[in-house]
Amino acid sequence: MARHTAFEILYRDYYPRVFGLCRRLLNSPELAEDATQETFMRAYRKFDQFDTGREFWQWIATIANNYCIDLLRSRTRAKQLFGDEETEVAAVAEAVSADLPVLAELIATEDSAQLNAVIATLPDKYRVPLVLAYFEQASYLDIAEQLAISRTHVGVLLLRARQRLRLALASQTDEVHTR
Amino acid sequence: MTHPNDIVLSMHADAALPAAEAATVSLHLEGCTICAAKVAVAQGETRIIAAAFAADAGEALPELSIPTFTRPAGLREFALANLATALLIWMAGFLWKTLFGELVVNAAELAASAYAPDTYDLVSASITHYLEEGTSMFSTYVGFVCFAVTAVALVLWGIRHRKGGQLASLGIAAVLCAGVVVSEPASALDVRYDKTLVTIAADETVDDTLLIAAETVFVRGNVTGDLLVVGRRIEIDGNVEGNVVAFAESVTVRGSVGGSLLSAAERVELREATTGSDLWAAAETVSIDMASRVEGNAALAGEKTLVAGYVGKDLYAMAETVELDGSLGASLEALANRVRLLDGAHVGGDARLRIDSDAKLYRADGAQVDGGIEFLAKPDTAKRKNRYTDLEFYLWQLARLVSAVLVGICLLWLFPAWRSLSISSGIEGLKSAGIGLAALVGLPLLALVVAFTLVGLPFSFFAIVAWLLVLYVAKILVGVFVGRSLLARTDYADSSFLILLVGIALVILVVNLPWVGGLLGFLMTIVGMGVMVQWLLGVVPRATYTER
Repeated sequence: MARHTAFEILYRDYYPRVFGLCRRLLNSPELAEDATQETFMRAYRKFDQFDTGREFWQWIATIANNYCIDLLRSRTRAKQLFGDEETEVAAVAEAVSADLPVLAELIATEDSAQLNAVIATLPDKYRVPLVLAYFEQASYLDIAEQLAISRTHVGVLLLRARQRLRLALASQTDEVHTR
Repeated sequence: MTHPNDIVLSMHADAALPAAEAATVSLHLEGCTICAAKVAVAQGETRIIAAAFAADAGEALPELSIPTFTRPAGLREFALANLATALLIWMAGFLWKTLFGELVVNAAELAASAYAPDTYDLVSASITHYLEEGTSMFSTYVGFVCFAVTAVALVLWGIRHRKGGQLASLGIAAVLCAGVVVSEPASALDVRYDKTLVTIAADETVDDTLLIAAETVFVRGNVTGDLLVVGRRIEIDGNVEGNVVAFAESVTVRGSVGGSLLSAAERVELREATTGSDLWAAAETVSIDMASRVEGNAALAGEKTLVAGYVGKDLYAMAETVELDGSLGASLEALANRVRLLDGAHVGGDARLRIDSDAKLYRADGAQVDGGIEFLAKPDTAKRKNRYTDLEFYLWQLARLVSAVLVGICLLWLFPAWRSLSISSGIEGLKSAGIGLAALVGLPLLALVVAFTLVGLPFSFFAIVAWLLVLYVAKILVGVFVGRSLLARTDYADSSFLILLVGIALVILVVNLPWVGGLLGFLMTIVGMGVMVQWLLGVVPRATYTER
């Protein structure tokens, strides 16, 4: 019973953060709600394995990440959810040559809500590492381990994600100017 | 000057490079304003993105409700896995050794002799040859197939669900299963075949279960196991310590049978014979002479049955004419056109006679009935009573409710996801009903087709058993839907027991409605089946858990 009560307290405290993480990873409030429930269920079942010397957030975030990534993998038809490293490197070079304006210049005319809206439009392969790195503040090594890719691949995907954000924001700005 | 590429600079901005590489890049940045600017831009961008994430923290959260945290799943899954394996072991053992090894082969031979007498010899010879030569091989083959299928399924299951502990447990169980299945049934089976005559001589003792097929069979010696015999004329004068199963045109027993005697023939006769347990006989004429003894019950079906000997317990007789000239330890129950209690008749209990009228009973002066004589209508002439006025009907429904609720509790414990399976729309309900109807009709048909291949017989049997289980469970599942819907907005929404009780009670009520009950019951069955099939196929999304 004590375990049950303690876990309920953790549930209340961490539900918003876990939900936020799942929502950003899955890009759907409905799926995120299910994923959050499942995350806490899994955590409860494995609670005996929780190392009390570790932060609870790190532990439960890992469970949530694993669940959400598995879910995304099961939904994609692509062989590799996070693409091929070489292909992504080539795409980086192509985008660099396009000489896009920096995000700061673009964001100056936008607000955070607009940026979040654009992030939500990113493909899973860019959005997931972005969320893990800049929302969850996970290290490249942790991200690489969870996504089963190399550290450099993580770096490439994050750089590509930023390039895609610039591209999307730039096109939105152009649209506004042409109206 | 060679500049680091954009990927390296981006990773450096995020402090994600290995220490040595990071030091090299830092050194480069001290003298390169272009790269330093790129790093600064990257850092600025990450700050903007992180800030955007942080600013969005006040997102609309779903209403917080504490779920019912279930106990660790290990125990449940362990129990489920072992239950399934135990069932598999039991089925495999039962199926192979009993159903297939004995009954099916015998039944096939009987059918061949009865319905295709011209080909009887050929079929009999083929089957016996198979039994003699092929039993071990076939047993090993089936065992191997069962073991291979089980092993592959276990490995796939283990890989898919990453269940190391349970997998080990299942592995051990599977080895046991393989041991049961692969064990050679032929080793305890002595098979004798001859086209014309098989004789077990008076001085011969067979220590195994004995299977005999021949036109004429004489068993004058001893058999320590069971005796399974198929032929035209069978005479058992010796001593069989186990049970006797005999199919023939004529079966005559003069010896002793330690267990039960089960026989189907044109004529079954017991002459100075004894059976240690029950007698089950179906024949045109069944007779038990006055020197014979049946220590258990006797169940006889035929055109004419004559019991002049002793039956230790009840006598159940279904025949055109039932004659009793012997002694019964307990009651007589007869469904007949005519019952004759002769001078030597003695019924230790009641005589319950299902005959048209008391005029159809002949009772000699010397006939004794210690209990009463009760005349019951034949089942087909019995008037149909209104079931709703019968207390027994309500007691049965209560028993049905209790058993379904208990089964439901076990099922929800074993499969917690079932608590939240649901049909959210009419279209989904129709889809489930369609799938359920396909499963209801398709599975037995498929099992029938597979059964024709003989090798597929075990799989067919499993399929039918699974189908019957699903049929029963389908309505319980519908009960869960109904119960949950009714209690959703009450304080009892998380009580599995109340959900089941209310839901199943309503389902039982509906299926017992006059006129429409049958149709509604059918609809509920196919909807429940459809949802189960979808769940088994993983089509239904994994559901959230019941909330308080």
